[in-house]
Amino acid sequence: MVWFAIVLAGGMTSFYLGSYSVGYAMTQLAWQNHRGDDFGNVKAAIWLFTRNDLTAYHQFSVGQLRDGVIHLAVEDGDWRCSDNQRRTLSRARIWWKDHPDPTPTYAPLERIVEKSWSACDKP
Amino acid sequence: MNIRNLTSALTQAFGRPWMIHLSWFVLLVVTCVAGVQLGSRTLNWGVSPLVWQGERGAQFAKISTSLAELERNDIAFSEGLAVARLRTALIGLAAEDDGWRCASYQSKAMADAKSWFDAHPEHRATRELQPFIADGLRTCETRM
Repeated sequence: MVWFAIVLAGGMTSFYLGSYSVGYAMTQLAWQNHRGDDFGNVKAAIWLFTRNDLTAYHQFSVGQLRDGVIHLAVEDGDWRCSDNQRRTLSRARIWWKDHPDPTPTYAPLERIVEKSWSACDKP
Repeated sequence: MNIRNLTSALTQAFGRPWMIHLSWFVLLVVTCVAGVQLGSRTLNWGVSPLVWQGERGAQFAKISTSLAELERNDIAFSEGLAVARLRTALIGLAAEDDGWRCASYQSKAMADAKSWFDAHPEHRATRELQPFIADGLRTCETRM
């Protein structure tokens, strides 16, 4: 009976420790990423204000657009888009087709980008 | 089969009491390892979809605002969005806990932001938000 109680307590404690330690580590990583994004946004905003030039703003927006679209391409799992997200992706696709990137650096990325256009295909 | 029956069955099977204690100890170790695994997997299973959902929302927001900027083709609109992003980032930093240090490029970014706000007071946020912006700008002063 004593051993049974010890095994039960050990199992419950280790379950708690397992979830707590993973939760702690994940939270730290998530916050670190979040801070990185915040500092990135501060730096980008000041750079844009210093340049004060529409071309610079456009370069930044194109970078953001690419980043967002490519991110969706690497998403995994079973998820559904809202109607608003579907409309956004469709607009992005039209813009992307109308404004092909002339720089050869992004050519290999086109295959990845193609994947993101089907991100909202699930009904 | 209750615990007493299980113990007597084990005594009969192994013959010696120390073997029974050893079996229980092995069971304890296995239970602990399984408990840690199950706990971490349960948390992962529950939390990961939430984190990904938040991340997806942020990516769609990024796509949407970038498209709006590119389609409007208006520097005032772009500047307005950049100011909004700057304020959001500073308020986010103001809400951070302690326990981390600023890298030198981060301190420099904050110093640049402070100089820019000093030179452009018209872009300071509303009176209610100003204390949060000021806190955000001080992020790296105590975390060097």
